[in-house]
Amino acid sequence: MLRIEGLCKSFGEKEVIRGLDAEIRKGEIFVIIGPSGQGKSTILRLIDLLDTPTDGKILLEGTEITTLSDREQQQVRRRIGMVFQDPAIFRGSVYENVAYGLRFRDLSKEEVHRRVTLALHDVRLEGFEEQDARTLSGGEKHRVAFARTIVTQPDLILMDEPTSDLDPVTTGILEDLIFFIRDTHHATIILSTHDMYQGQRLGDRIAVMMGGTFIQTGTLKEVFTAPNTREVAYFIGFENIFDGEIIRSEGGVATVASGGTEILAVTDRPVGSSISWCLRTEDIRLHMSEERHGRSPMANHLNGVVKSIEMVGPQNHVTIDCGIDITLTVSWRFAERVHLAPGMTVWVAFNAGSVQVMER
Amino acid sequence: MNEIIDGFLTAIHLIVTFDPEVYEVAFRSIYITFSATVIASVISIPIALFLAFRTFPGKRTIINLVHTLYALPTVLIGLVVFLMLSRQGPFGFLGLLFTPGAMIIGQVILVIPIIIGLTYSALVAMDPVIKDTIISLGANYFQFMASILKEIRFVVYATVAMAFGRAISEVGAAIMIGGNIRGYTRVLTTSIALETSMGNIEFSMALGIILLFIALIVNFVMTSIRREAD
Repeated sequence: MLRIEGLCKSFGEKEVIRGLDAEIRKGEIFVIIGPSGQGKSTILRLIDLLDTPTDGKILLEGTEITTLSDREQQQVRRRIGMVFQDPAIFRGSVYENVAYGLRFRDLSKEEVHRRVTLALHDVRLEGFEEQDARTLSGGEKHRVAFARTIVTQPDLILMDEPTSDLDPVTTGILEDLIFFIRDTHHATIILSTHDMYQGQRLGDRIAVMMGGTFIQTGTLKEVFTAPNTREVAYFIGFENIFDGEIIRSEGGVATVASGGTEILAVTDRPVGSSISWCLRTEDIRLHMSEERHGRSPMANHLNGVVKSIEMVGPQNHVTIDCGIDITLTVSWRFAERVHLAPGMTVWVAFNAGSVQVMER
Repeated sequence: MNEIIDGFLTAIHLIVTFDPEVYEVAFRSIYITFSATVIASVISIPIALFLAFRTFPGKRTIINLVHTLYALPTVLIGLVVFLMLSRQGPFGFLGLLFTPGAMIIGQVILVIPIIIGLTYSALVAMDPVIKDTIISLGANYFQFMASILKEIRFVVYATVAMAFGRAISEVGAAIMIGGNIRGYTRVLTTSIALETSMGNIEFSMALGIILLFIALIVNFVMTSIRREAD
């Protein structure tokens, strides 16, 4: 559907997009996740031909679109829809707002009416036709923006953080709507968000954007279980990220020296490699006694002292000094039952397969 | 004091009895200024759109110049237009000096900077997402311009009303290039100046009240537009 090759964009001296490559497949929801200020909006604007790249190509179904004439670019834009982060609401009624793009396409009055009615039905705004669009709530304005986009029946829809600043209920409604648009309008959707959980919920594939480029692209499982850099691991929620060096390796299981501690990890990287490794809190078991700890089948066993306990919702995040500070999650009921407190000696265990080894 | 009260009462009498000379001058004023405002708007709004959406060398200087011309002295406009249209001037062959046409030209020059400047300010202050959304929805060049103008239409209406008010109350250029010829180029402001100098206070006051009434209507229109825009 869309291929991006070596795309660069600078604003003056500032390079915002750096040699970005990507392939977006027809009919998928491709989610770009990343912290604010990494170029997510800029890449969408470049695809929508609102900005001109400094270098590189954007190919829509094989045609390079950034070098087309103004008139040809306008025709390409009519195949692309864009929902902006803070949607613009034009003066006039909801109906007029939704019909806006159709007025540029010389459609008959009946066809405009048919499409607008259908789009308002899809976004559940029937009955709002005559209302002044500027008097709508934030969530309703977003739905008008969705309707205005789908009413033109684009092949590709770009959504720039479409639910930022909205409450969870409205976000849920709009997320359902995104699936609905994909399934009923058969459009390819590229969506940017800084919310990794939203990325997980919506994306068929995900690209993690940092420093103006996609530093990792893949399926949900590929990205969320196997981050390829410290930055990706940190962004997608790994709390235990360390540097280390592979000192032994046997049968695909390496011994990693890290902060005076040795752990086992499944990796085929050679001995002597300087690496980073990470571990999800939910993959770590906590044992209160050495006896129970000894019965654990897990490959990694570390002894340490509880350093801090922090309540996060219904969970406690417990940091244990094992030579390296390992953070794990326990329920607050469990913490109360075992009288977990800073200074206590505890044991932690985790599988070698849970350790994700990355390039340093 | 009595003279002023008597003058005021006579002025009211002239207005309510539809004195032909008073109304002839008033209608000429409206006709000349309305024509000038329409012509200036047709010239200025596309220029404002061009300045707002195109980048070219010297753009900043032109915008500064436009803002400076807000305060252009009307007698200076009168002098320049007079020199241009006088028999020895480059456009003397048109024979426009001391005609309503010349007065329209003077007023057009007077209000063009106001319409360009205020429309340009409204365009650059516009939410950029509005512009991006219009482009993104597939508008061609003319559809884009028309949509943008539609979005700022209330500012444009208010700007045009303000320009009308500025032009109708101008006197310096009107006298210099219109000549204040009775029944031909005499308008409200020039007539008030002349009649006052001749001691015909009642007639001046009648014209003054009409001018004030027009200013009130313009102000009312602008207030209504602002209320509608909000």
